Amino acid sequence: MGMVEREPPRGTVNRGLRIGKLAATLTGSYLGYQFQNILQGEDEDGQRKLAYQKKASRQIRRELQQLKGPVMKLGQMLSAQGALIPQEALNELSVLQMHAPPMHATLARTQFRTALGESPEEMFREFSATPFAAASLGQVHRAVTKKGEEVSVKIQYPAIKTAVKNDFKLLRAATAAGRLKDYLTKAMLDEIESIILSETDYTREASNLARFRKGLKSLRYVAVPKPFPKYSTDRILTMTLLEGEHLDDWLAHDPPQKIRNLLGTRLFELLYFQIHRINALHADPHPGNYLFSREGDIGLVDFGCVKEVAPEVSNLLKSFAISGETLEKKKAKRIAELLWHSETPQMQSDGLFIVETAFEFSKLVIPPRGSHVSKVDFGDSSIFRELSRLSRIVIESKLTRPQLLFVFRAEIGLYNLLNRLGAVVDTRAVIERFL
Amino acid sequence: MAAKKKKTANGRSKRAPQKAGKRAQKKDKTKKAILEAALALFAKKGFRRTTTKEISKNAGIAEGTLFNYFGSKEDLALYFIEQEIAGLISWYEDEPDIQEFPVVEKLFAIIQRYLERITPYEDFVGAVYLRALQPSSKLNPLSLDGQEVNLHYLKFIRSILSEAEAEGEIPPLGDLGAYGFGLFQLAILTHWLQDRSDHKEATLALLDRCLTVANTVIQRGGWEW
Repeated sequence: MGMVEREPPRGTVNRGLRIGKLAATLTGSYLGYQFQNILQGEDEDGQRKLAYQKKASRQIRRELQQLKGPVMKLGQMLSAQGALIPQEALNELSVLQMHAPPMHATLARTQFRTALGESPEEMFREFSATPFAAASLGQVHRAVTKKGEEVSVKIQYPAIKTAVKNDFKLLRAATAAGRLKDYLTKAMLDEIESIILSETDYTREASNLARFRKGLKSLRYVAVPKPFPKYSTDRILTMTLLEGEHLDDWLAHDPPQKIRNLLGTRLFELLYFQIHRINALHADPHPGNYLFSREGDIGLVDFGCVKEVAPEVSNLLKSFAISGETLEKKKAKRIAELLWHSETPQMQSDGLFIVETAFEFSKLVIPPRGSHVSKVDFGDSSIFRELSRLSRIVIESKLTRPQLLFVFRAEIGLYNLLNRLGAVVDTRAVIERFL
Repeated sequence: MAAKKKKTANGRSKRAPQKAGKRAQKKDKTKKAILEAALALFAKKGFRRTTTKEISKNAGIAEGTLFNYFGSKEDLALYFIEQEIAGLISWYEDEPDIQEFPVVEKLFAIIQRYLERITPYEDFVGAVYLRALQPSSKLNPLSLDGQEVNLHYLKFIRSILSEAEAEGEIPPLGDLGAYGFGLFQLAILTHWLQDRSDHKEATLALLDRCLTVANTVIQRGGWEW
């Protein structure tokens, strides 16, 4: 891709893009400029902008659903990142989370047989050829083992790694020149790519499951699936089937406020327990990964994306939580120096602004010690809007550390969930247990 | 070869005398035994390093007899292709659920099955493929011998497409649809032969994507230029 000095006639560009799109469609990647479409509308105003975004995002969703795999995954990740994408686009993209296009039965069966040497029908007592859910880079089928255990079998799309790499190659090319570079920096793209690539190894996910089953044992209300190594490989993952309902179905029963609050408190505790006690995070917080019982128990699935939480991030959150109404300048400076220790003094001082913004964010969620506010009503949309605004500042900043990014993403995912639950949570009481 | 084949076909028909039928059956059996022996050796030692001597020994016949059945390795290859296609078609006809599949999945299953069948003989198939590129080769799809085998297969594909057309699943494509599919399958085979990914999964992905995109384009009546 050479530099363009004179702008070529628009028709040529469009045609070039479309032809490129055909080629890219076949090799499994073309999302770069598609995503740019969402953001291109930003200079335009009001209704026109909204209509444009709506149309663009709907088109993207259609195209993504057709391609499945990594492109869809990126769509999910971006849509989980709430604040980054305009709300209209988000609504369209969020459909992806539960309605991924399935591999047809023959393809899924072939994948299974190549990986495990036998067809699923031979290996299990029962196997449902139609998937019941889309999962990270694959799809999930119900099955019953020969011993009678109910399991879910996650089957990966073929050649997913190559497709991921293709996507990111293209995304880098697209973002280098385009407006997207202000939103997706190279460091962020590298981080997201390495995470998605590591998600393609289901063996790793199986060991994540084992780790979190052990780590979360003391939280009685949380269930994590048990992996079955005998029926698993790097691209097939068999695990126990968890019971429970997805958020929308759960909410459809109109659960009483008391249960909403209980569930909200538990979800809040679950996140901070992972950060401070396990030092690792289930970092794929979209609603499809949670299953809820009527009594407020939680099933957590899809451990493909697990993020180690660096001690400095955990300490940062703790020092926010023990601060009063204001964060001492000296303390904030020390944190910035710690986080950006390998950068120039100029960047460290710019980092101070991010730390202060993050502190504002933290205060909204966890009222300072001694504050007259004791509980946070997450159903209050003004809080959520303010959280989105602040997180946007942090996420869009070129200075944002990748380690921070994923904790932020998990937090925004959680508050999104709590907002939809309309939960009122005594967050201060929960957080005190970890200080 | 074309004439010879006709005779065999007559021999199989009901009106033919029983003796001739039996002889043809025996001949068929020997041919299959030779092919089987040859394929086993190709899979073990590779196409080039396998000698006709070894093939005849493993098939339990004299080396001279071998040449009565197959004049050259090309004849053997052509017979292999014929058998593969026959095997593929009869697999399709016996597969219990496949008739209910959407047409895209049917076509996917056919190519996938075809690739799975030839997997043990990749080396041999690669050699045959290269040979088939020569215009003078009997294996060339445009040669008379090659074409006959090819047409048999295309007719089979044509019948699947016609069914889908009749049910309104795809718009009418006519014979071009089958021809296009034949070329597509060749392209997939080319990719497969060069594919160094695990279990050749890149070919599987390409196959799935191409069929999906082709279906979309056909439904839309063209690519949006």
